[in-house]
Amino acid sequence: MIEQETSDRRPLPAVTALTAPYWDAVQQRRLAIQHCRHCDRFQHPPAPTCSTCRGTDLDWQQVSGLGRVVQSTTVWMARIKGFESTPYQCVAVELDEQPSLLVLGNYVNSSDFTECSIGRRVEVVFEPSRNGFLLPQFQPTKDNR
Amino acid sequence: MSVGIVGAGWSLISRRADSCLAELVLSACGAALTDAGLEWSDVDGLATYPSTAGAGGSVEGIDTVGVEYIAQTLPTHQLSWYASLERGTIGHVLAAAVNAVEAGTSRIALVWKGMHSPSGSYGEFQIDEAPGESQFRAPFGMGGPYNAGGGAVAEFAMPYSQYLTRYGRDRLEMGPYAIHNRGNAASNPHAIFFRKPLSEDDWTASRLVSDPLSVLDCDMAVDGAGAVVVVAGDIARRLSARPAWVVGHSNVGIHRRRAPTMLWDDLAENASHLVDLALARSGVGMSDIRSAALYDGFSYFVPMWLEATNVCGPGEAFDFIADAQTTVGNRLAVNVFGGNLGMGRLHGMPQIIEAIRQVQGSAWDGQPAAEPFCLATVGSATHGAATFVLSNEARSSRIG
Repeated sequence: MIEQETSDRRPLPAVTALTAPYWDAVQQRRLAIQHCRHCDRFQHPPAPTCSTCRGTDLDWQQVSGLGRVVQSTTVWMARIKGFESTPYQCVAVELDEQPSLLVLGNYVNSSDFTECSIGRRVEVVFEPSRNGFLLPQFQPTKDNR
Repeated sequence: MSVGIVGAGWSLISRRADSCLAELVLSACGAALTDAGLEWSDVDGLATYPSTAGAGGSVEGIDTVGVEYIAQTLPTHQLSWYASLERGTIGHVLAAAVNAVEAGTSRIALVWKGMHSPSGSYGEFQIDEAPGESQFRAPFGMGGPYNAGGGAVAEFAMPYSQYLTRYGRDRLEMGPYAIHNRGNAASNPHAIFFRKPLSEDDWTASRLVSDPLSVLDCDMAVDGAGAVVVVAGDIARRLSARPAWVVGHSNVGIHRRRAPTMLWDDLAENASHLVDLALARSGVGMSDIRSAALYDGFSYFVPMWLEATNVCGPGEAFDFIADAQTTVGNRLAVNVFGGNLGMGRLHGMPQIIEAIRQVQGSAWDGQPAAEPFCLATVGSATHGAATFVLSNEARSSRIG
């Protein structure tokens, strides 16, 4: 778990009409991804139109929050405000719902979070950032399932 | 029609310059024009990619030097063409200049790239609210070069982690390339690491920034500028300077997958496509090319570009390097001038200028003969990239 302090200075998202459904769901401890009702594809980050079929009929669907780490990095020298306390690990998680559907987060609650986590099965967990704003993070699943 | 690059020049390149960026750009442009045997008043086209250095400001002449700034130094004559691109690389701008000259909308185009490294830590992300798509990265300690960039190392480390894991490689296998490359830079008087070779111990002891990237896998922020002069074939033939002929190019390094970051496959597929296009348009086969200037803002772009050229298979670049195949006299001499890792963060201008020098036969003291061809690759393959095949002889290029 990333240490939460009253002096937490991590950047928060500048939420817009386009991204509000994502962050609103996260505040309710749900992971929801923008989805095209025409071609039935998910996309992230959200966009005004579907990047697969150019369709305009988009909705938001809750996903399982389960996936697999496809990329990872342990950051030792941070250049982002609020991340002075290193190391921390960033991961790109391919969600189970669709190949190459990626969500980024930190790799948390692992016994060795500096170890490369690529290939690890993970699940979403919601952790507070600055001002209690929840962020979707990823932790290893039990028995790597 | 044919297009030649007839002049190239550098300003002084240093960690922090005493002079402002405008002076550096004017110095580089002046050097390129002198090298070409041309005057400022001969120029009828201007092109640059006026990116700022991360979290720097946007004061013209200090942080960037755009086309208007230079046009205002040429008040006595009308220009016929300019290009200034907000996204991409200097490679895109050079490709645009080549196309403009090919089309006849410019006859003598001046193309420059200035880089200012403001004091403080380069590329810091110091805002409280992450705008645009950075809102899906910055809250997790990742930056990126798009909108309010900064902290890009973590984002660029991630595809490299995927490459190493997929092919069972180790980040330390970059050592032979990194050490040899700094040896190249040590003999390049323009390089920030001139006379500063790297030892095996330096390499293994280098601090990790964002695993698998260490400090020595990242180019160093510098103050400096480079410039080249692109001219129509008939002019190139008239000048005393030996032209580097542009016989093929491509500039389509764009991220086509909607995702918060790039996958290794996005980089590898784009890099292959960029190289294939430039080769096909030049009519030159990779088997004819013995020299390459490969963009190495992060070290791992070298294996990416190497594998894109098919001189080795996917995941085999470290074997190719370990076998000394990237050194002069072997299969493909790579970055004989020291690349960005040796010269500093000049965003692809080192590759452009040094590829020119190699086909001119002036890349280093005593270069035995001009290379018939040199492949230059500019940029990361998903954040704007371009490739060029330069030749020491004019050929009818098959651009388009």
